[in-house]
Amino acid sequence: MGERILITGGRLVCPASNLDVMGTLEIVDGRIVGLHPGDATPGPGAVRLDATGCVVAPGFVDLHVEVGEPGYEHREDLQSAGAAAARGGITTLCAGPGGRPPNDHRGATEYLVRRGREVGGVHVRPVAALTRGRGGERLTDMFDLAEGGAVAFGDGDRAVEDAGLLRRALEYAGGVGRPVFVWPELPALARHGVMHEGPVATRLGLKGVPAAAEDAAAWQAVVLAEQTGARVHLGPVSTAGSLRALRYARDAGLAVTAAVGAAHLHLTDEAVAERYATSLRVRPPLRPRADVDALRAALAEGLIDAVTSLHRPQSAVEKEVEFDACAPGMAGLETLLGLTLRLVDEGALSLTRAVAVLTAGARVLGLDTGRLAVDAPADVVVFDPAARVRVEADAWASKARNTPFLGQALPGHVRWTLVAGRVAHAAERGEGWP
Amino acid sequence: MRVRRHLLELARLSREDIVGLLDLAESFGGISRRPIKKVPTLRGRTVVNLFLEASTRTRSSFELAAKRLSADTLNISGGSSSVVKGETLLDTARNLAAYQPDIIVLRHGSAGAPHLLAEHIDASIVNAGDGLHEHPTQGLLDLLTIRQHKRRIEGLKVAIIGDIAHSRVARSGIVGLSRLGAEVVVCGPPTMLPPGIEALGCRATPHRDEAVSDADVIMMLRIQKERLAEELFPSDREYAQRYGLDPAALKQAKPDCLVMHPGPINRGVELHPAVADGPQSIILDQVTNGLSVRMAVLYHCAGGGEA
Repeated sequence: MGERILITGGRLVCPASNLDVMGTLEIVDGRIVGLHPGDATPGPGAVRLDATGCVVAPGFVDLHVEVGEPGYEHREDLQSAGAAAARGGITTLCAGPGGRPPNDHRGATEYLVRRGREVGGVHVRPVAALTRGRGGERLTDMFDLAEGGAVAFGDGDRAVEDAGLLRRALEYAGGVGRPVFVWPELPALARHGVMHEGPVATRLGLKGVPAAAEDAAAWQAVVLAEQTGARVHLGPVSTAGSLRALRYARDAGLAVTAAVGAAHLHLTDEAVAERYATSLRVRPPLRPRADVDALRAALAEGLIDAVTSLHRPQSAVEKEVEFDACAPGMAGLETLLGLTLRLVDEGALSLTRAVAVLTAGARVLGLDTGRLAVDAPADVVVFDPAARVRVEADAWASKARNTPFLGQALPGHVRWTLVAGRVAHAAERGEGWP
Repeated sequence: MRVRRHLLELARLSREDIVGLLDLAESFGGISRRPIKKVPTLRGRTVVNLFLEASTRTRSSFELAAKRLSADTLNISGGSSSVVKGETLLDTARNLAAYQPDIIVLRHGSAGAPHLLAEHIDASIVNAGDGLHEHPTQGLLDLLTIRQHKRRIEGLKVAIIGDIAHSRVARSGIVGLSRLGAEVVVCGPPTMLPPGIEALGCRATPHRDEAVSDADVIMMLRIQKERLAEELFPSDREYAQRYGLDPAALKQAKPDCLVMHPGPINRGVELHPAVADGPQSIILDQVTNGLSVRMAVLYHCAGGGEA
């Protein structure tokens, strides 16, 4: 028998298996071997983690992450992204295809998986490009990429403009057995826009991206999902119009899932007005209050499956410039839990639902994780939901500092993150620590 | 870093602030009518004119304003975007700040660029036009010109006609005029009326005649031919007919209606030559007042009037 870890005294929460009970989680050799309700502590363990007052949940699965590697290591790399993820309770991160070169060939996919394993500390699951060079013209070798470790296909934040090609891509990916990530934005409508089109953009003199750019693309993806029967993941969504398309997809029983960025559940376009802060330039853009409220309701109701960090690290080089010249994106790995739990504090989500939306990525991708069950991989997070942690740049493991939440106290303190039974992050040492 | 007075946008000024600047500009106007057009008010002060977007009028006006106040001036012009220049705006400004200027006047193609400087640079920042956002000194000179001719702003009907969406002049105009109690109507083809413009303090209409009817003031905006490529309007010809100001359209306004334009004019497109050169046109008064307004703004930002 190998290493044995006991996580005792915590509240075991696993929405996937309908579990919410006080008890002890028993881990041996990287797998969960027992869930013991009540106080009964089974025998002496090699390592004991005291989770009193904490939630013990499946490790979070983050569907939309830019890891900076290869090509943008000044922003982030797999080591820093992995450490940041572990600090945030994330045990699986999906690395987007937007490296330099892009992940459109098996070597790149295998590199991300291998390097992620070596230095990342968490599971790195690549989303490989749907088209070569993310150019929107020719499909990638999807079977090959899937064998190399790609869990899904998509061109990141580049929308496939050619609807005919998108249709073929969806059909082909269905044969490979992987979902397609569709970035819901019609470039012809979004062009030149740097924030949401509306009264705030008008007042600030910034060019807008109309909600219609997203709505139309979401509907197009849903209609093509219906036509092809393919698994389509819409992500990230940000408009009430996208939600109407999702509702149609759900009613029609289509294999369509969706994710929303954590910051998009809190910030509105009005925030940009204060001082043109470049940390607020993101894609999709921050939307008005009505959309934010609709997104919150859709998340609570289950119309949106998952919350994502939408982690897009940028350095000061990209951000200490004019608003319309800055690179879009916000760093989010280390605020994902806090922003999601803030929704619980605000009464928008139950704690169980919060755990569900942080782990639903496993179901979206069809992974064998995201649950607390005997024989499941021991990807586990232990967090204190009542503790508040101030967002401090110096404390971050990520290289990035492009967040508007600096200085704010967010709920949720991650005590331990276990990836396949190995401690990837520990705020403190456990008893019997080797 | 001591507290600096900036002029970033009219939207941040109260009615009293605006009236104060107009009164100040009025008093500076006298200097330009004297034989010796120079006062020592800002002697020893340094004003940097950092113009990173093409401009002749506004730059000349600021330069002359600084010189008439005896300030030392440094003029820098260049390409707008950080990417093109190979040096970021902040780095450029930090280099200039090393000379300890009192005021940096910035013209820039990006909305919010003056705000970026105000946050990071130890100098007073004056916005000389930022992207599509605001052109506060233009807004002030328009107000001053109207006030001189009409003796009031409150209660006047002012029509602003043209590409409202791409006009910082329109935004500063709407904000300033509405704050001083004018009734502002903006007009253009719907492609040029941005969503939510009413929130700045105006009505919007796609019908020229509705905007012009009974107007006390009509401000025409320059139409940029580049907008043709963006399909914002189909042709010069149709634009001139439907949204240009010709003598017939002007007849629907009040008989003493003023005609204004921030320049440069596209004769025959937005403005019929007979109107541009007609008795109701006060376009050159705008230019003269621009100088007074900029003297007032420089004086104010340099700490003038402070105890």
